[in-house]
Amino acid sequence: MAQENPERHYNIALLNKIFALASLILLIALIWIFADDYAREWKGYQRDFRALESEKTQVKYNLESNRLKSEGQYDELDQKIKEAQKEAQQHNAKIKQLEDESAQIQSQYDIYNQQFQFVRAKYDSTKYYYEESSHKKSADSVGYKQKLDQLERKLSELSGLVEDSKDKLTQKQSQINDLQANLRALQKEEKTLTKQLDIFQKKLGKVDLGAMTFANQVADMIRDFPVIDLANPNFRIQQVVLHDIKDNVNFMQVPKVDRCTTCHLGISNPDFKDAPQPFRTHPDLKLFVDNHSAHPLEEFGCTTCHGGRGRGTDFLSAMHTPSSEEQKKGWEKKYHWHKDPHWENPMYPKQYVQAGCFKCHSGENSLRGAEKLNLGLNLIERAGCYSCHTIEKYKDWVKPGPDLTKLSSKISQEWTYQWIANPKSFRHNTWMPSFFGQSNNTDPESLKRSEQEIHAIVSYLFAKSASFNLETMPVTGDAKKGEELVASLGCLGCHNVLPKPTDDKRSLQSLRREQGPNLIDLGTKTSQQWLYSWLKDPSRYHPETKMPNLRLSDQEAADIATYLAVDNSSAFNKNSIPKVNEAILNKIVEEFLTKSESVEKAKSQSAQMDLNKKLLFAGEKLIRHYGCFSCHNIDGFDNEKPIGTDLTEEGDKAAERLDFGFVPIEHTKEAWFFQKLKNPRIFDEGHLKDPLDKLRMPNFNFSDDEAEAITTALLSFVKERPAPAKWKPRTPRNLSIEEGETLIREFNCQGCHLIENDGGQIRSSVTEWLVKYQGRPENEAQAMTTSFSPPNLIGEGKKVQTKWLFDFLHHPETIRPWLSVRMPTYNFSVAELNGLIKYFNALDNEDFPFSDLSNYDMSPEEYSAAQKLFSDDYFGCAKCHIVGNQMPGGSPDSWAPNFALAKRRLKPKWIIEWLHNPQDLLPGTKMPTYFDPQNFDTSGPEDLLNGDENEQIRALRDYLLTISDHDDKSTRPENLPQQEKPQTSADTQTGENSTGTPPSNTDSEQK
Amino acid sequence: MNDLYNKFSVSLFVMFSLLAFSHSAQAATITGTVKYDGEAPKFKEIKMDADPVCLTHHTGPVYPQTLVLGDGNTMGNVFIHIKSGLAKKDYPAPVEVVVLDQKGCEYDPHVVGAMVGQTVKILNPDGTLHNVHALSKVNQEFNLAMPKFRTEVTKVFDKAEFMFPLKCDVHPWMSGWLSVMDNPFFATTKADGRFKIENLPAGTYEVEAWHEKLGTQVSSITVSGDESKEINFTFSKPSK
Repeated sequence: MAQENPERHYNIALLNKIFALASLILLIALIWIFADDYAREWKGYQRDFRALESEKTQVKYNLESNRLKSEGQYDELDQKIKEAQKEAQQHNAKIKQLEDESAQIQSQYDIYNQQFQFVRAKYDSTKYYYEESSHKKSADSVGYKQKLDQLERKLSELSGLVEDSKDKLTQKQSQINDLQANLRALQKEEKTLTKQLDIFQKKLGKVDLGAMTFANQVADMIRDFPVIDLANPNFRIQQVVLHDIKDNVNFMQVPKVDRCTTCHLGISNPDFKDAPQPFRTHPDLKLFVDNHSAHPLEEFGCTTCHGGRGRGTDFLSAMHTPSSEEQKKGWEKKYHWHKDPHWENPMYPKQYVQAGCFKCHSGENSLRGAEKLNLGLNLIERAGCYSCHTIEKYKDWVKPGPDLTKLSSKISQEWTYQWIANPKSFRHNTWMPSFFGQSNNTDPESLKRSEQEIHAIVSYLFAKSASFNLETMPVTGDAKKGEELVASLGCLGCHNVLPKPTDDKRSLQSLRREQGPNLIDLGTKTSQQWLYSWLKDPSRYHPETKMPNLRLSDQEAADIATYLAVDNSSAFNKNSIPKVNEAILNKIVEEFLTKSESVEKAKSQSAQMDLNKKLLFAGEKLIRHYGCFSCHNIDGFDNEKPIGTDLTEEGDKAAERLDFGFVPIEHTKEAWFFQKLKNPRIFDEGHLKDPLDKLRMPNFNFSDDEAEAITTALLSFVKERPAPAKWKPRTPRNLSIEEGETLIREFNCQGCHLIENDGGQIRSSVTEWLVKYQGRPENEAQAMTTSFSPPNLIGEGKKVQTKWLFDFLHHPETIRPWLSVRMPTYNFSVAELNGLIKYFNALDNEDFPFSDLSNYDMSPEEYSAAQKLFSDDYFGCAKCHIVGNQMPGGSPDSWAPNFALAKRRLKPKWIIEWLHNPQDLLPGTKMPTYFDPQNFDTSGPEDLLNGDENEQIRALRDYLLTISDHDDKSTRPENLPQQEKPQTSADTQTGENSTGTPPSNTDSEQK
Repeated sequence: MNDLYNKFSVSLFVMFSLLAFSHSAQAATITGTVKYDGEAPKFKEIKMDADPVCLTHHTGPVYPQTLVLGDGNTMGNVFIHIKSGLAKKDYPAPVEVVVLDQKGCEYDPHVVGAMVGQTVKILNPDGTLHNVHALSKVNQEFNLAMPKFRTEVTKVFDKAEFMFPLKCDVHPWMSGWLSVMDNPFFATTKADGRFKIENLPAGTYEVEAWHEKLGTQVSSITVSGDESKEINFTFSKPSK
């Protein structure tokens, strides 16, 4: 009996059972581990993808084979091959015979060849013995010599035979080839024709089981068996390792490893653009992923831009983020998706994906292709977010709001009260945000309090307002003329006149016409005198204003001021204003006082103040509280710090650090930003707060699109940046361009000019002006718009001299007297001027600074030839171009710039290029091509300068550089006395006659 | 009364054209007349003072060629073409040269069609500077100067492009229209308003009449064998 066995303390049978069971469990567990480890989510995707790929390849294969069939070419060829084969068969007997013959010759050849080799060996050895013996002067040498001669004869005889049989062999071979040549050529042709088809077939052989041989099928299946799959499986993890982009994993920097392509298998293959996810092609292969794009997958990975966890190989661990509530629900069902708080940078939701661009491109102001990010940045600039919230990028930008230190000369207290209470009720699209009437201050008590707060602020502003001498209009203005001036001078490059809101969405382009305020209802707001003084010199009232000086004459300024002041349609001023309520005011004053004093003291201090003092005291505190000084210059707030959160690295902020209050939104930073922008006060909902603790960010009434764009920009403000090698190269050229683009944006140059093929927002208003004031029909006006618009600045760096551009930007001069639009005078600093000049030169890869030491002297023959070319008998340059003060005939829309400017203004090399082919430099220009590029060698007149076109162009250029604007009638070059020729030329001369200009056109700078 | 006269003149024209072209076998012919309905707007006189050379070519006042009316309100400068229904195939470009004259600082013809590959000869007999600026979008835009010494320029267009403007930047009033067609079935009316499209294969077509200001009108027609059919178009003043 087992239990009685004294040698054992345990029941061996039971133990056996336990062991058996345990090992069974272990086995099952092992299998389970294997199975679980083996069955990865991504393998399923790879299997699906393989099926899809096979299907697509099959489709392509069929398409290609159908194409071949339908084109007939293939069938034709097939037919020909069959015929050729038949033909070849007829020759079979002949070929057979030839082949037999050649085999015979071959054997013959082999025999001869062998004999030849043998004899040669013998010959070589005999030669050795002969040399040896003759050297020793032995008697054997004679015998050797005889033998050697004999062998030599035999050798030459054999070599003849070998060559002979070899020739015969080649002959036979070529006979055979000739008989088969046709067939071979056809077969080769077929191969080229079916090249594509063969590729598909090969591919099918790799992915389609059905198209494989049995052995391959078995091998294909076994490859992916557990354990064996460590060798070379079909299904495996795909990854990119990026050594120079690091992931921050808890105080450690590890190289980024992106395994996204394990499932996103079709990402770089354009064939999958309609495939279901995760196989779909990237939507922009030109810019991303593709090896030829700016951001190849191998160099940038995926999560560098998209965020997420690159090492994750299943849906959840890759940190996908849904882009909508609907998608979230779908994912919860399909993937049991839930927000994972353990990874700080989950993928950007689709709508915010452009936030990823900024990591490397933070220096740029307009990122082509990242329109939403651009719009967001632009909105931040226009709304002036950077003035309450420090944003490193904008640290030098000026305050966005008008100067309030002299406002009593401009507006009334009543108007100011109404304006602060509700700015949008005066100007529907103003950038001044609303502080009052918001979701956290519209309860009856808050409304009463708001009234008194506004009274206090207004009282402070007016008490502190300095005096400002308004200029009285020396002439009476004409509103009608003023209206036309506004339409024609260029005001509408920066301003709109939009009495009613429109449905148009704000875009990068439309924002250019919101650089200045919407010009409505100004008569309600201010006086004619103020408008006149402002227009005459905006910087006198507001030294930092972006409004440039249009150099208006007294009459022009008076006309415009009159026109603008006529519009006082709104009932804005007629609204009644609530009375000052001292009781509520006391409360406000005491609240502020108790911040630093005891309640007792605060009460007594407040009691000592009279009403006016209270208003001033509360006003100052409130201006500080709401941060009005951040956007406006206000006396007494010179060195205040901005009141808002620093946003420089806002994109890094963890969602946990944001107060979501009781608002039922997703707890992500993007959801919070969006909500905050839509309603800045919403997170106060459900909280009990003292008035001064309430949220105070004002409401800009952003649309959903705008809030989304700004959120994108906020998400993009992050600290971590990939290695500089991944940035846009920090070359001096790129830096100059970035700096220039910032200036262009700040001063809104693209409101009027086309720069880098973007801008010219004024053009639609030029068309309107042509229709309304010039009586042109719509389509004609459209065609003429370019001629009457500020010039396209494409190629400006190549075109004009640096010094001239500097002077022009500093003090614009008239280049196109027929234009009504006027290049205004900006108060550019020297640094800004240099920034702009460098920018234009960098864009065109021009040397900076420009220097030209060439000599443009002309021989008398050249001079007279150039004169002829210039004249109406030849090119008729003066038909359109102004020459000195000689105007061309006809209507101004056909005029072209003054040649007298050329010497100072244009780069001589550019003139040559321009004369060669103006359309090349400025597509669509009015300047015609004199030297037809298609028949260049015959395009110039044959009777001048030997008909050499290049010489003609050069002579004409040199001639243009002699045209001066100092003398009057004699300016017409035909009339220039011959003696002047030698002097007329060059550069070094600063004399009367040393100015000139070549043809240029609608292009560059403006009037 | 006027109407009656019109009808009469049209039918007379049709009868005439039927008689005249009945012998052209194998292919159909479409003929017709384009008319203008309503009162002709007044056009501003073109002031050519800018270039005295232009003035010398004209004795009386010059008006834009936009609306050219003949007797009985027939309309010139209307371009008639087959909008749809033609078999897709390559029609050979005719050897004849299309001539575009700039005499007297006006384009003659004002509206002109040419086929892809057909030579277009542009003349400058004026002895003054012209530039031919073709505002084409499909074909390469060009702007060629034709100074006094260059009296002739030839151009061949390589892509079909319906109606793009031609202008002269020296003489802003000069405007013309050019259409590059991929088939030979088109015509431009003269002041008599008549047009004729010949050698049309049997089939059903949409025939379109185009005018630079008054837009287009489309009419459907089926022709068979060597018959001759007639379509008339009437443009009226835009209601503005």
